[in-house]
Amino acid sequence: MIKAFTQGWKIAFRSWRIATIVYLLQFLLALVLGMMVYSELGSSIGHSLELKKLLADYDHTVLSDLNNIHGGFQKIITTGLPWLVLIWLIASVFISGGLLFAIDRRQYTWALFWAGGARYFFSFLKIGLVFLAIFLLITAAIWIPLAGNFDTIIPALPSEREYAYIIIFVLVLYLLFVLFLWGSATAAKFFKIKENTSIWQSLKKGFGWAWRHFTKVEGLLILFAFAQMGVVAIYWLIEGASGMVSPTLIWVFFFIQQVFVFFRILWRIGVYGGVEALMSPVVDHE
Amino acid sequence: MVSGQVPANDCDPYFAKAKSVRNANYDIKLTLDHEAKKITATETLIWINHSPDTIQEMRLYMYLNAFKNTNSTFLGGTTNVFGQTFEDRTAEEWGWIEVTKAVQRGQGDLTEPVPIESGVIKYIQPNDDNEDDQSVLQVPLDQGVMPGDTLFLDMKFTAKMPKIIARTGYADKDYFAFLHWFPQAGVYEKNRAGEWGWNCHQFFRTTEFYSDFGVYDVEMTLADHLIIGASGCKIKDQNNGNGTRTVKYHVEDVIDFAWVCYSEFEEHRDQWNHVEIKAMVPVEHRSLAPRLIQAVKNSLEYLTENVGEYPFTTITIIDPPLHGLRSGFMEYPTLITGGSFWGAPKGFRGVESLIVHEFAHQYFMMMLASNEKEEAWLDEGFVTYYEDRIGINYFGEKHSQQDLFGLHHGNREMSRVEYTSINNLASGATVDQGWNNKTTRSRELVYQKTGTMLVTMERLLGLETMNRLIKTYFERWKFKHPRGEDFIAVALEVVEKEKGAEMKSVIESLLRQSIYEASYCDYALSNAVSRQKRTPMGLFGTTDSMDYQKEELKDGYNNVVRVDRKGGMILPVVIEIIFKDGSNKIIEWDGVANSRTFEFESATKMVSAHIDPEQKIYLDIDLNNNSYTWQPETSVFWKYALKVMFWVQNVLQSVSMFT
Repeated sequence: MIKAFTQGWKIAFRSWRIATIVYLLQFLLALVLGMMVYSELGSSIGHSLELKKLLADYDHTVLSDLNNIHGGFQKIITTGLPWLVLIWLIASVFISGGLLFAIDRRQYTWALFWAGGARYFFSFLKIGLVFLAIFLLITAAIWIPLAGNFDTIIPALPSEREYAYIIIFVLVLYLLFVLFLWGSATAAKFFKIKENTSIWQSLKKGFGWAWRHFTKVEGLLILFAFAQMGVVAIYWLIEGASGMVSPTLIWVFFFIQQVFVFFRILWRIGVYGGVEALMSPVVDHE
Repeated sequence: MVSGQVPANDCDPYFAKAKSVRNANYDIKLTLDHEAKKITATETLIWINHSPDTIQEMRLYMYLNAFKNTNSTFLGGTTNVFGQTFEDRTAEEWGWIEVTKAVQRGQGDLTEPVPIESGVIKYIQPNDDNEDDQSVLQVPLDQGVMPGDTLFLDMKFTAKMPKIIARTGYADKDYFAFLHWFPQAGVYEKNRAGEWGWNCHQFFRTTEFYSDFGVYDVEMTLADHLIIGASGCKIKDQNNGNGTRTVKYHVEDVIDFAWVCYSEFEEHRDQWNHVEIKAMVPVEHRSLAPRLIQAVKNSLEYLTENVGEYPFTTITIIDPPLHGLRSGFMEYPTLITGGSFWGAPKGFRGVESLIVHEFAHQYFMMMLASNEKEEAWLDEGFVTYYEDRIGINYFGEKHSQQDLFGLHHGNREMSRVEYTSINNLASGATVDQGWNNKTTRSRELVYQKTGTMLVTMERLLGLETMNRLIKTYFERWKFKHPRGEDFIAVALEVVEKEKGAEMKSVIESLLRQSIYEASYCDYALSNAVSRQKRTPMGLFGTTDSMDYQKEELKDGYNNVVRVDRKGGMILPVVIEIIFKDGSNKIIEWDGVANSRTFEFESATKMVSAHIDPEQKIYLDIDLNNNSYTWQPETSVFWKYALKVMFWVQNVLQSVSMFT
């Protein structure tokens, strides 16, 4: 597991060229919304003296008045973000194909990335949709009853603390399940690449493999999760210590944020690489 | 029992001198059957007629009947009140109250013949003629009560508590909230037209309570595992040796009596000067008790200094368990109900804000006992104003309500934003949001618009004058029933004395427009142009000697500033012009015209113009459009554009897990 973890990171760093493409694609998509916000601020309250309050700190009054009168960020996010997510999900299917293909071949080149993306797009789209559907169904099945029966559950428990513990316990189980699902999805895609199995067979093999190696898969993904949480904590600490409170710091933080985003992309590649490292001996012998 | 003879560990409820007219006094003895969720009780109402009329009938509030069925005026056919649905209620989960016997002392039984519906005692519907509504009981008297005489009305009643709904009722684990739970006299008073009569409205969803001052003695017999928090002070606590105990509370010069009991309450006590603070918290909320108590201490300290003395010797905080939370967020004499949850983080200051809000009602409602059914703004609006002031005083302007995960906001700005965020700002006048408005009640108009109006008033007058104004109002009207006009009269009197006739006119205009009209305030600086002076250009002279003259720049600037009044509210405002050399110019505008253009010359270029630069008119619904500058802070555009980009990148990265 530790070996797979380190192997995953090695693969991630070797894939920096592919990661750059992914980063740029994502950056361009996010830029659309960023520019909409820039334009909205300029056209709505760009000439207001109140704007200065937003530089030094978060100001609830200025932002609320902006949203009340002009719709502000809210309108941009609610109208723009769903489309971006949809476009990115489709792009992400292509990216997964390219990444996993490159990782499987141990050649982290752009050419292989494009080839893999094109070759496995439709197969991975189907696999992705199945896993997305399972994820949404299970999420609804767990959380809707827990929230909906709040009034019944609370009095049945010795105290509110137990309810909080139940929520935490269910949350942990849920997160483990999500990780398991992620491991299964990644494995299913690797089976598709390695053995060229049908979609159904890939799904079956993916789940089967992840189930048989449950501890290793969960352990690996938890290690990756902790790695990410550590970086998030560092970012929050830096942001909390200063923040974008002057023109210079705005660009300093922009740089830090983009490093963080690039890290997350490497992290995703690392997860794929780690799962592949766990799978390789198994697949070789099956 | 007299002062000094109270049981150990409890407070002294007796005042040396009555603080109110004490014309509605109650002596209640009840037994609680906690398994049947029912109380049986005797009640003696000792009512003094302070009117010039001979009273031939009494009118009693029977609030619990609002929860008898969905045909009550309160429920009005709905199965959802305050976000709570009750479609699946069983027969045992509804509530009701019934007077089974009523005797005018020295006269006959008024409840004969029975049932009440067919006898002389009957339910009446003075507001909406809904015959199914039983929230007001009319009790014709055998003998009229002469002016100055006292009525002794001995009653027996049974009250079945509903499963908690709209503040009152029971919840699991023997949690009971006895709030507006007994037959209570309406108010016989002079109306706005100067005519005497009963002010005893039915119970509407959109209104709260109104009653007279008096002395309450309430004795409860109940299972000994139930721990009580109640209005007033405990003057008797007796173990009956049969699994029950009898407890008696006494409280003077109050308008109501409330009590709560629960099998898992833990009592925490503290002292602030003469006031004993009791926090009744579920065991799992133990760690929150110091926060609740400190919030009350802060309120006591602040309100004593800025409004007036809190004369009672006790205040009880009820912190309901989560499963009884719907009984929270309310105020009763010397008892308030909060709302918290296990593990509530310190940065979530809603816990404290709520306590401060409900405690402030001890002043604005319990002592200044305005009519919540007709003029809710007089208590809720003022309480919102003081909740915000107290929050800011102890936690800071921008952090008093929430300070979590880098997101923070203050009470005052939140109150203003709640008001300015309502869909139709001109949907109704603040004063209309009461019993005569059955379908809608804009909480934001009553609470937040009034609170924001009072901030505007404070900023126009200055804090010291505002404090003196409120103190005068409090001293003059405490333990009475002030109306809106009474507050306005006090306000204008103080303002005229301290700030002159011109400011009096401004304040009167502000009050009348904010409360009695459905208008809002929005002044906007729509355009500002500063152009360097130029020589004339073109052709000059006659055809035989025509000169062409080029445009040339001259010293100085011509400036044009256009301001608009977008809302209906009219208030005088100042406009501050800032020039490049740092100098400024102040323009005073009466704010009457819909649009006004100001033209003026200056030595240097105008760099910004600002209506109401000190933001005194806090009621203005859009403070962003009050100013205009030629030097926009473009770095802010970048800051938020980049922040949004960053979060979008993270969202995209997170949602693509399975694809």
